[in-house]
Amino acid sequence: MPRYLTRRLGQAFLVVAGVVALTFVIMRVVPGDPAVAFAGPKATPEQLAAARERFGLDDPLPVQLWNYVRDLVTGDWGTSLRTRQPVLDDLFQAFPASLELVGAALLLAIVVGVPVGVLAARYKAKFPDLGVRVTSMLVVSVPVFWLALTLQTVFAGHLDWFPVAGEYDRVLDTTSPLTLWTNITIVDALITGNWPIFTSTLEHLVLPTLVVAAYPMGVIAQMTRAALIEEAGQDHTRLERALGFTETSILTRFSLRPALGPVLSLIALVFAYAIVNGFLVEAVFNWPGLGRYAVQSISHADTPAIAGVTLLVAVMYVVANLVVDVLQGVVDPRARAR
Amino acid sequence: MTMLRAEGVTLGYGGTPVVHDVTLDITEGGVGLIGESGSGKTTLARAFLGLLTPMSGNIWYGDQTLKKADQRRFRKDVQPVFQAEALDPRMRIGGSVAEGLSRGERHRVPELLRQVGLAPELAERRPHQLSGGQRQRVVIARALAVGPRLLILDEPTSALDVTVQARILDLLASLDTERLLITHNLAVVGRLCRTSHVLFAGRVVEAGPTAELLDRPAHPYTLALRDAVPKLGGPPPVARGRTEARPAETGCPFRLRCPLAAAACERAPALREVAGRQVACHRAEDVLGG
Repeated sequence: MPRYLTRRLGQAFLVVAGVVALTFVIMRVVPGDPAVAFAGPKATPEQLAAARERFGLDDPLPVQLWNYVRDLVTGDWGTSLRTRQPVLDDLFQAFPASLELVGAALLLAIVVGVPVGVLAARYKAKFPDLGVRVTSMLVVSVPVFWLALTLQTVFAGHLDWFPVAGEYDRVLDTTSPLTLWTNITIVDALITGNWPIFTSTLEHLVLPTLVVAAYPMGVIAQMTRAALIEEAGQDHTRLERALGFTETSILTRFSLRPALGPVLSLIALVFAYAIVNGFLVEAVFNWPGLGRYAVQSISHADTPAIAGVTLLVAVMYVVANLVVDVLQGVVDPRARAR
Repeated sequence: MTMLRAEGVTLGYGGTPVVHDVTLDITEGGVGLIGESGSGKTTLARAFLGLLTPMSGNIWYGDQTLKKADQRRFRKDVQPVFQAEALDPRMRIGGSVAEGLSRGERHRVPELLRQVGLAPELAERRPHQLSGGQRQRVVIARALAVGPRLLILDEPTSALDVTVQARILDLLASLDTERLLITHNLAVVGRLCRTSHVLFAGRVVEAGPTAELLDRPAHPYTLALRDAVPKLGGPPPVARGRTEARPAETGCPFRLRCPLAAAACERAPALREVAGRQVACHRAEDVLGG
């Protein structure tokens, strides 16, 4: 296991290094001069020169890359041209809200997707299987913005069951202020026993969570079903049948664990997908997360912020893959040998 | 005594029959099922294991059909031995062997491993950490765990090299169980089975004492199988007839490959008694006469 872990960490490091190089290139090739963007369109040549000096734009490219990497490692991810705040501070403010939304969505997707996949595999080619396949195909193929707007219109607009947008009722900031521990609102509300904000956040989470969870839920259900059906055709499953185990018992006792291997890999992929999907959903539901920050940064050509979001999402993706690889090593010992 | 009997069994997948109207008794002394890939051997074995329901006909377990039989007793009595690759690659050897044991019986794992010639310490390993021969012994130990009276052996040695194969055959021959052996290897069947059935395109084409079948085949397909076996120091194996031809859909299924095919072969031959065995061939006497 230690060798396996070291190898995976090495691979993760290489991917992050590649993304760092990519974000550096993004910052150099996007249209517009960062010095102009920072100093403003009416800046004097002296102000522009000062901005260039400040960002090291006159240095040779290798020196700029070295400085960029050094700054990243020391926690200096640049200053947002829009908010004039350090990018890392902005990201730390926006990220917990995104994590809250994507975390809730993935949890829902796994809790619903896996059992539904098991049900479909157990009743393969029968009515429950057909229902699961049709539904999962629908939720996978429906455009996320359409689903977001439809749920918002029906459940928030017409039926008034859930709030239209936002993370929680901001009036509560004055009547029941929240003490921050993790910056993840629902977790902080739970830890500190702030029930008004906790219930308000739960209510606000329902619709965006359903939208972000739709795609992962569908693919997790389909993958669980496919992996279980493949497992059911293996020789060792025939041996288990010959020992007299029932189909349900074979599915849950023997087949589910190996079938979860590919599902785990998929979860890492859908995690990244959910973050990107979350950008659109955050825009529709005015969720104060990375997506909203990214959209605002793009519309202001705020390159340090865009590069910061890109790098953070890439790092999260790499970490998610790493966690999945380690879990797969635990679930399937052969993965360690590969 | 007949423990399992297939009576007029037709088997298939998705409504398409692949085994046609087979009647076969699993009697004492071992029964062999011989045939090329796709001849229906494994399908028939699955039906004997209760893993496939016949489209028509019945599998009898003692005096009851398999459907009505006490499943718990049947599963204890009849166990499969597949190829070594049938082991769950994620389970430890001890776990695989203990799958059919209750919690209170798991202490028997070391004894079962010793019974098949393996060191009990191997229980902690996983299949990929064992050799092919060791894995095959584990598959046998796993089957023996529930104390079966009949082993259904599906190509148990075909993935092993000849020296390991010989040791596994020794082990199987030493076991106090009846056996149905499915193989395309005539040497193996000669070693373990008193009687044999040759299957072609899902039909029994010849059945009788194994020694007779191998010495003097009465069906051109059995003859072709025998002559295709390479012999050390002997002439190169002979491929008789057009070995690539598909089974005929009418008449004798083997006629498109058969070097002795005649006009009579356009009628489907029934099994008949010839020289102490059952043969489904219009030209059986000619085959025996050389």
